[in-house]
Order: sequence, then structure tokens, then C-alpha cells
Amino acid sequence: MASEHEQRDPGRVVDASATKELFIEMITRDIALVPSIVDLVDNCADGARRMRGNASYQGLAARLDISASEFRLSDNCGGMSVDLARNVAFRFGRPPNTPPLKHSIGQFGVGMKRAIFKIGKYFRVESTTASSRFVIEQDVVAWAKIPEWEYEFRELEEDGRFNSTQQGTTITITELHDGVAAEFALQDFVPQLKQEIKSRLRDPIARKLAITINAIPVDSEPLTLLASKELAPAYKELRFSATGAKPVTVRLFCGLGRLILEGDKTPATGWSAEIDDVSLPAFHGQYNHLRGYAYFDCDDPGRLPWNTTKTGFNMDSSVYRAARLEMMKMALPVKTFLDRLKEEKSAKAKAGSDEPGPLQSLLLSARPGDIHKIDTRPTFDLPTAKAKKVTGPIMQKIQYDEPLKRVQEVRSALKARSWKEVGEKTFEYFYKAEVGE
Amino acid sequence: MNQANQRTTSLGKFRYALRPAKNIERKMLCEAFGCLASLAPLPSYRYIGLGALEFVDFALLHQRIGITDMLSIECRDDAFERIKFNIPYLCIKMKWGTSHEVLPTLDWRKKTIVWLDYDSPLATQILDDVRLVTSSLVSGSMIVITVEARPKEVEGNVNIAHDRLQALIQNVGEDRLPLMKEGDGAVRSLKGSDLAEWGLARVSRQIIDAEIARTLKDRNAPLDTESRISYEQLFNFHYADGAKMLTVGGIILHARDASRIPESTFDMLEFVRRTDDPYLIEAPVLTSRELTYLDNHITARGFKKASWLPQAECEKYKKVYRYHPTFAEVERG
Repeated sequence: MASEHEQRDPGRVVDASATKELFIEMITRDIALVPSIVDLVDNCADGARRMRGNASYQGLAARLDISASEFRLSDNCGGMSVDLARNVAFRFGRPPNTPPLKHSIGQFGVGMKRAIFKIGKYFRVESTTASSRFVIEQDVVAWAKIPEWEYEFRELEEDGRFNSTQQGTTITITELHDGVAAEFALQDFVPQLKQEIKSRLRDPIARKLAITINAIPVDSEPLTLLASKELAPAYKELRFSATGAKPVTVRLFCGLGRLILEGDKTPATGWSAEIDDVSLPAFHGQYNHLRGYAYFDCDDPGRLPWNTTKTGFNMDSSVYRAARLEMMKMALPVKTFLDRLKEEKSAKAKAGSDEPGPLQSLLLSARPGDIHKIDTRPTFDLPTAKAKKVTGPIMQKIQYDEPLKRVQEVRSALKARSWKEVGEKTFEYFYKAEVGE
Repeated sequence: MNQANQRTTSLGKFRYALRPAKNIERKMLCEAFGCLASLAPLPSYRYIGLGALEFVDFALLHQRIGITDMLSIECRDDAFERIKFNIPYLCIKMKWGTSHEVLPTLDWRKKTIVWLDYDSPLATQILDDVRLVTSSLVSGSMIVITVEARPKEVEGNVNIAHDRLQALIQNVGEDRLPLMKEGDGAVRSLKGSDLAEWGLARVSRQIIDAEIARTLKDRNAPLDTESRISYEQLFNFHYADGAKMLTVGGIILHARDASRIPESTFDMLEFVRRTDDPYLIEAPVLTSRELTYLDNHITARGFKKASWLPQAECEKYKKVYRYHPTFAEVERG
């Protein structure tokens, strides 16, 4: 092939290279501003994961400072080596021979660059590891005009020694795009970003990675499921291994949750967002209590089932398809419980009873617990308590309104102690007089 | 919950043991289950069945192949006492609920023979059960599904073809309708007229087969070639003791187990069907004396001296005589 190349007549060559402007436009178009920032913060979480694995991230932090004129994200999560910056981190797309970044969910090699281009026209990346330090600073508009796909280190120090307080990465973006500056100035931008970080980075936050936006801490409540002695959520760990590929571990939790109040719905809580895909019946109100969470982990991020913006699943992923089958299986007993609960409630309503039935009582007495701490079982066991058949005659509830004054008169005449008693005694009186013997 | 989709034990409708085609089918299945011995000792298997009052399948499997770990899923808890009374062996455990409720709560690590013996037509909920079982069974297990496949009666209805298609769509959803192959290999959409006679049974088999294939595709997606699980159809019975019925099923196998059980093991059984081509179980209409006569005149090639008997019935008996039940009246003590 090479010889063919050398012999080519330059007059026959057609230029098909991409302009940088088009490229920048393309990669930034498909992602919204908020997710692109979450991508950046996620890189900090990846750093923390590489440093601490599954241990606590106590002492590690990612700090976001956002104003209408500047965006800055700094962390102390280990930093990026000069080597990585030189050969991998600033390239668009991962070179095929790069070893996978352990536990990272960034696999496409576009996240950081895409976010920078999305936000502004001038950036500075400074990063320090235990042995190296660099600064890259670039005017994006000027860079787009030159043909080379390269940056230059503004400052570079290899073979240094830096202590842990110096280690980390700071990304500063200025000359923000007009639209972005306007968004940053909006009152509700920070809350929106906070919400998104909270739901997408729940796990690192739970491990005590301190994330702040303009000094406001982003805290995350632990994911919970209702638990009691009788109602234990199901837990299953799956491991998908294949020769020549890193194994993927999937941890699945499924059970009952508290009802989500309107306005508090976070789309990324486990598979509730994907529930229709898990082939449960159309999502009726009675299944509002059904809750499941899925964690995917792999040393090779390429095996994880995320789409490139990491906001949803890649439905064709082999791991996702196999995990989805398991999710469906785990959800079925929970669904059955909720079906029975519905039957129990309507039986109670028919009988005019306000008292909770056995299943309802179980649900009411269960307390939400952190999914990593509560007792689980291989399957969600259906409690054996069944809707008790109503004993005695079938009952009918009666309700009616009368002017207060008249009801009070009747109440004192009957010497009744409650409104309920007024109803019962008047009915009794009429029945004795006109119907009964 | 759609009650119509669940198997309801047909209490008092008929005596299960007395339905000859069903009886023959049960014994044929049992013989095929016996072939699993080359994979694992038969008593190490578990059997899961869908209840019924007489536990005929349970008794047969216990007696013939020695399975003791048996589970009956029974949704008729209104007949709790009566069903419990009829359990023939203490080793049969009961789980009360519909198959849809009970199957997802079971532990599936053991080699299992599952017979989902419904008496209703194929429906979404049955396919959910099929999917659940197929995604759970370990290599060396068997899955068998029986559904009713009786096309809606014509009764002078000129729109019957349309109505039959609509009934199927209502039961399984339009997206599950299979494409039909013409004789020349051309492919077209399913039509109502395809569902007449045994057509519904054929289409039901295709739908079940596709559900199993789709499930295994997902299950196998992240696995290496040698750890992948395959399904090989072995049964495709058509029979009618009254309503037309379909029984389809087969074995679930790893590549490495597949080499331990040569195909000929099953193919020696004349009723094994690996394709769309069904095995029709027909019980002959012959008297007891005639059956005894035929039994006494069996040779390697067929029956001797039976020219005065209807040939068609003799032929039917020849195919099934090893499995044919003998009914007799006995004094009950």
C-alpha cells in the first residue's frame, strides 16, 4: 500500500480533510451544556477512583467556580501526567493501543475537549502529578485557523517532586460563548447543574468526594429502598467475563421505594428511567413504588453500556442486554407484590374499611435504608400474608352532608360522642322502626 | 391480572389421566427426559410442573426416572385442601400462586425439567414465563410448553379469518407475529387464513421459538462462544383430546455439554421433532379386545392378520402402542 501511495500523482489527490471549525461545531452540537460540565467533573471522579479504588474519597475535592466571565474547575485528584497529556488526553478519540483507564467511564476520549469547546474560546489546563507538571494554554479561535492538530506546553516540568497538596488539575475557561455566559448568569443554572451532578455522580459523592459549585457543596442522599424483616429488597451480583476482555461486574438492587414527590424525580435513579425497556407492563400508577438500581463496573470503560454523553444506556451493549434480562426477572416479584397490594386496597375500599390491609401494613412499617447497608435476599420474597377474606356480611359505606346546625341537634338528642356515631345511631333507629321486626 | 392467561386447574372438567393423547404425550416426554441421564444422574434433576388435581406428570416422573425434587405451582388456592389431599408423594412441594408469580422467586442453579402445561392459548404472560425460564435454566435442563391452539370456531362467520388474526394479535401483540414463508421462499405477512386447522399451533410454535431465541441472544451477548447456551427443539407435538393443543420444547445446552449428548440420543425416538414439522399424536379408536389382539400380534414389521380391523386405526396404534394407556374398571377398596 505504501508504494502505491508514493507513486500517486498529486494532481489526482482530492482534499477530504475536515476543517477544525466543522469539527468543533460537530462534537459540541450533540451535548447540552450541563452534561458537558458533568463530564468534566466526572473526570475528577475518575481520578479519585484511580487513586482510591473502592475506598473512601475523604479529603479529595472537585471545586467548580462559575461566573458570566469565567469557568474554573480544580481538583486534587492525582493530576494528569505529562505523558498522558502529550500522547492521549488532548487527542480527539482514544488511540487504539492506549491501555484502558481503570474504572473510568470516559472511554471515547472526547469529554474534556468537547466541554472546553462547548463553554468558551480560551482555555488553560494546568496539571500536577507526583513527578510532573504542565500548563497548556490556548486561544481556540486562533488554533482553529492553523492546520496542525497540536498544542504546545506553555510550562513543562518533568522529573520533579510534588507533594500531595500540589497534585491535581485545574481547567480554566474564559472568553465564554455568549449563550454560555447568559446561561451561567441565570438564577437557576447552578441548582440545575447541582441536581445533575448529584444524580450522575451519586457514587463518588457517597464515597465522600467533596464537590462544590461556587462554594455550595453538592451533597447526595444515599439511594434507599424500603426494608423490614418481611420486606427485604433483592440483590444480585453478575459477572460477565469473556476471554481477552476485562470482566464487567453488575450489581443489581430491586425492591420497593417511597413514592417520589412531583418535582423530585431524578431521571438517573437506577433503571426507573429505563423501566419500559425492562418489559414490565405499561407503567401504571400502582408500580410507582417499584425501584431498582444497577451499578456497572469494569476496568475497561469500553465494556460499559453508556452512550457517548453518558446520559443514557447503549441499548445494544451486550452487557446491558444480559443485565436487562436479570433486571426484568428481579422486578417481577416486586410487581406481583404491588398487584396484590392493589387488589387488597380495592377489596378494602369495597368493604368500606379505612384500615390498612396486611400488605399495606407491611409497606407502611418498612423504613427506607441505604441500599449498601440494608439486608438483601437473592429474590424479593413475596410476603406470605395474603389479603384476608372479609369475614361476616358484605359491608357498604354511606356518606352524606347535612347542615351543621341540624346535625348538631341530632347529635345532642342522640347523646352521640362522634359524627360517626350520629350516622350509625340514626341508621339503627330507622332500621329498627321501619325495616327490622 | 389477566386470569384468562393463567393456567387454572381444570377441576372436575375432565380426568387428566383419561385423556389418551395427553397420556401418550406425557409418556413420550418422560422417555425423552430419560435420555438426560448421559449428562447427569436423573435423580439429581428437579421437576417443575403446573399443578393440577391428579399430579399425573409428577407421579410418572417420580416412578419412571426417580426424580424426588419436585415442585408444583398451583394458583387454585381456593381448592387448597383438596389439592393438598391429592398430592401423591411427600417429595412434591407446593408453591401457591400463578406461574408468573412463582417462577421468578425460584433458585435456578439446579438442572431442571420444567413443563409449563397451560390449558389456555398463547399470550404475553405465557411468553414472559418462557423468557424467564429460558433466561434462568442451566445447561442440561429441559423446557416444555403446552398451550391450547384451537382456532376460533367458524359458526357461519364470514370474517372468521380476520377475527382469528385479531384474537392472536390481542393475545401476543402485533410485533410478535411471525412472517410466513411461501413455497418459493418468498416471505409475506401472516394472514388470518394461516390460522385455520393446525395453523394456530404452527404459528404459536414459531412465536415461542422466537421468544426463546431472543432471550438467549440477550443472555449470551456478553459470553464467550464456549460458555454460550443454546436451545435445541426436540418436541413439537400436535394433539387433540378435545381442543387442539401444541406442546413445544427442548433442551438447553452449553457447547461443552452438547458434545456429551450426541444428537442420535434423542433422534432415535421417533417422536422427536427438531423443526417446524410437527408430530401428530393420534389415539386410535379401537376396543379393548382389539387393542389386546393387536398387542398379541406385533411383529418387527407391524401387526399380523389384522385385515378385518380398520387399517387407519391400526396404523395409529402402531405409532403409539408403547405409550398407549390401558383403561379398565376396577373395584375400589
